[in-house]
Amino acid sequence: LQEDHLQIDLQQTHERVTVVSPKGRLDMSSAPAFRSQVRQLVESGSTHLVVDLQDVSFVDSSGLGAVIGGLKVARQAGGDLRIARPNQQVQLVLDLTSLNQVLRPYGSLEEALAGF
Amino acid sequence: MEASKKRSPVSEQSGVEHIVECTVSANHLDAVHEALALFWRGQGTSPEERWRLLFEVAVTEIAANIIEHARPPVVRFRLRAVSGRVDAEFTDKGGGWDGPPEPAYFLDDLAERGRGLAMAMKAVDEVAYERVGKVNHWRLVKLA
Repeated sequence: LQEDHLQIDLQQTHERVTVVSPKGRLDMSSAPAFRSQVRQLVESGSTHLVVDLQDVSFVDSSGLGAVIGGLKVARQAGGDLRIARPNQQVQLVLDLTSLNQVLRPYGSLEEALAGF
Repeated sequence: MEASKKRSPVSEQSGVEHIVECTVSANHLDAVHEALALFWRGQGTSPEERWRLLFEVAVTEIAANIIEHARPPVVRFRLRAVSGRVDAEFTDKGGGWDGPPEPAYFLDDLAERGRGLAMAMKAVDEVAYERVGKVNHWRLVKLA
């Protein structure tokens, strides 16, 4: 999916988890596309999501809001959402907002997928 | 960023102060990131990463807030470095802000909106807002 400067790749793992890999900036401009993509995934039955942030260069409050929205949608459907491999800027934003308590970042995809 | 097709919205002056000025005219923040990158490149020394990122977070949040809430046709802003401190001044002719910035706090862990201003206030040393006539002025300061 290509929307403005955000590209979102999807990968179904061998288990029930879908890895969502946005690339670029997750901000006010691209957050609606991300939100919509996650909602579609959950509605189509992919309720366990790992958002791989390795290729996300920058997140703002709108981008964070979209991830939180995805977390809520996934949980409401009986699943969950985890985030993995945030860069320093994303870590900083999670710290500033204390959202690292809600969205605990995993250092690797393997860790995020373990026991999910 | 539409404006760049005709004339770059970002300009730079160096001297005792280092100044980058920018105009954002569309619902995209590309020009803000471009201005920040130019701003850091133009300085003799590279600031500590976390300090730099905190200032960037505040600048982008305020810019996004103005675009989303004040909805002006354009936002003009200036980034300035002097004596190790950095500041940002934004002006726009959009709708007025209802009041002074509120204390930085977050009401709900799972809220999907409303974190931007609080993030900016935590990231820098000063966030000030003033409306003069029909013009909004935002000012951010991050001390060395």
